[in-house]
Amino acid sequence: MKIVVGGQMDKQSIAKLIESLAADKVTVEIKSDIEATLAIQMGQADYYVGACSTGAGGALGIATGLLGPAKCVSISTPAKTMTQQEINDEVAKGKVAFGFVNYDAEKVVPMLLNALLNK
Amino acid sequence: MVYEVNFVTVLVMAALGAISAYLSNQNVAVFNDGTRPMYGPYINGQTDRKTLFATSFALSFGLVIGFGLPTSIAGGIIIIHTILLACDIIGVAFKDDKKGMILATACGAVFGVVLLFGMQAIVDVFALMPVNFLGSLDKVGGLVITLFVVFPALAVAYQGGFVSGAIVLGLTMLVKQVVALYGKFTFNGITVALNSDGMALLFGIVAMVVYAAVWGKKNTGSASDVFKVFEKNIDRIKKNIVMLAIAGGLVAAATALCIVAEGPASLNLTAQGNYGEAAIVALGRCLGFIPLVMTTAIISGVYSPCGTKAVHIPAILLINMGLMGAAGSFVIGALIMVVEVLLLGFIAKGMDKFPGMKDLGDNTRTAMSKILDIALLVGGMMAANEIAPTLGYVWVIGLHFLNQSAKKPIPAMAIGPVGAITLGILVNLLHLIGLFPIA
Repeated sequence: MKIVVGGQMDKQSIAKLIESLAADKVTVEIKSDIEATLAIQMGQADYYVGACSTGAGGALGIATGLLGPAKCVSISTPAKTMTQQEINDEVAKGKVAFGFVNYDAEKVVPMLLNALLNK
Repeated sequence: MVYEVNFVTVLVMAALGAISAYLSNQNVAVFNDGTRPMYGPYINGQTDRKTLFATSFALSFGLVIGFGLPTSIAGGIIIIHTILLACDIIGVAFKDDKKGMILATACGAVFGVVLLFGMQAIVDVFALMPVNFLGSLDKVGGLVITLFVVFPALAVAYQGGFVSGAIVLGLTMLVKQVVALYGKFTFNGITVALNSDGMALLFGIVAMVVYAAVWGKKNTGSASDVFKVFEKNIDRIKKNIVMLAIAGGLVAAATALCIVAEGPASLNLTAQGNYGEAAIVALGRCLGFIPLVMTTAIISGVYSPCGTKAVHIPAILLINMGLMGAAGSFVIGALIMVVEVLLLGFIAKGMDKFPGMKDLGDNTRTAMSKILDIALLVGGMMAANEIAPTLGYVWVIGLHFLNQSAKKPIPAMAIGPVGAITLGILVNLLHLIGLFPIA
């Protein structure tokens, strides 16, 4: 499975976090949000993750614009962090781009990987 | 609060609230960079107003309460998020027909005025409490300028690794030390002292931009193809250039009147009277936000009521020039907005030529938020320790870590201000039951 880290904050640490959790099952690449979204569009990558302080703007802005809101979801925002079940449901609905608040990375990335790998 | 409540400030806040709620209501501009991309599907008819409102509320409300209000109270100036995020929500709460537009605009104006009086009222209530902690609150932002000089080095490290970052940090420290030692000139009997923090920060920002331009990633050729699809969105923003110019002008005027500030760092610097440094900090933040604001604007057809935040920079330098300063910054702010809007397409293509500059934006914002978290956390600890030496450190550190395991955590940046204010209230409660005697 190939994951691209797009927009916009803490990209390096998020890529490291994903590698430390699932290095044997996942390849990770850091890109700009535009390139990362294009990689999804062209099928070069399977999933997009991104973080920023709202979990939606820098994190998912470009992805929402290019892939459409049906493919994107904020799994954490300043108001709410999704549960494992909610993330599983979003993955099952066919979401491919995931945004979250950068501080929530350690909480939501393991749940997200769990959902993606057990899909 | 730093600002005065008078006819002019009431008028400016009413106008700012009105226009930002109007812009959000008419789907022209929103402040929250996360809400903006959701307007694209709404304008194209893919989502309805209710979904748009729910998204806007979810993304903005927590920030107004958890970040905007405490940061504003602790700093003495309203952080602009408080009014513009709230007006994002107010605008979209009403339908975008004529009736909705009038109601949204009116509610925005009322909110602006209520906020202006409300902040002062909260501070006045705090001043009446038996244990006065207001004087300690300015400690919260006390470390910001000293620590902020680190952010360019950190941004370079994110982009180019440890060694590049370390070189910039070393040079920044050298500049700071040299300016502190030799940065005093006597010129025709007038002594000019350069501020070592300001100079070091300026050096760091220049180094960071040069690094990104020279050693950053080279042409990838993808952005301008992507943005070609969105030409009509740029046209949509250009159509609203007059209202956007007025909004930018009002934001600038409010900044020059010390009612609002663009970010937590420049807010604290402005409150302390360090306008030069505040302007440099605002410049750094603006550089970080240009790619984010402009790309989200292009994909959605919706801009921001304060643009790339550049309108704040000249306005900060016009503080203390009274009404003329406010009027002047209105004109300059409006002009900056016009230039930004006209340059939207051009800059989108420019990011393609210099992808390093887009990386720079991402890394700058990460670096600044990391530094600010620490600066405001330690500042909050120092303020809390001054309020109550027995409890201060324990309270703020306790909040910091408890927040991390909370279901709805507040932004890490807000822990310092929230910790200091809540401790101030707590010791007053303890005083009432005799557990906190005043020496």
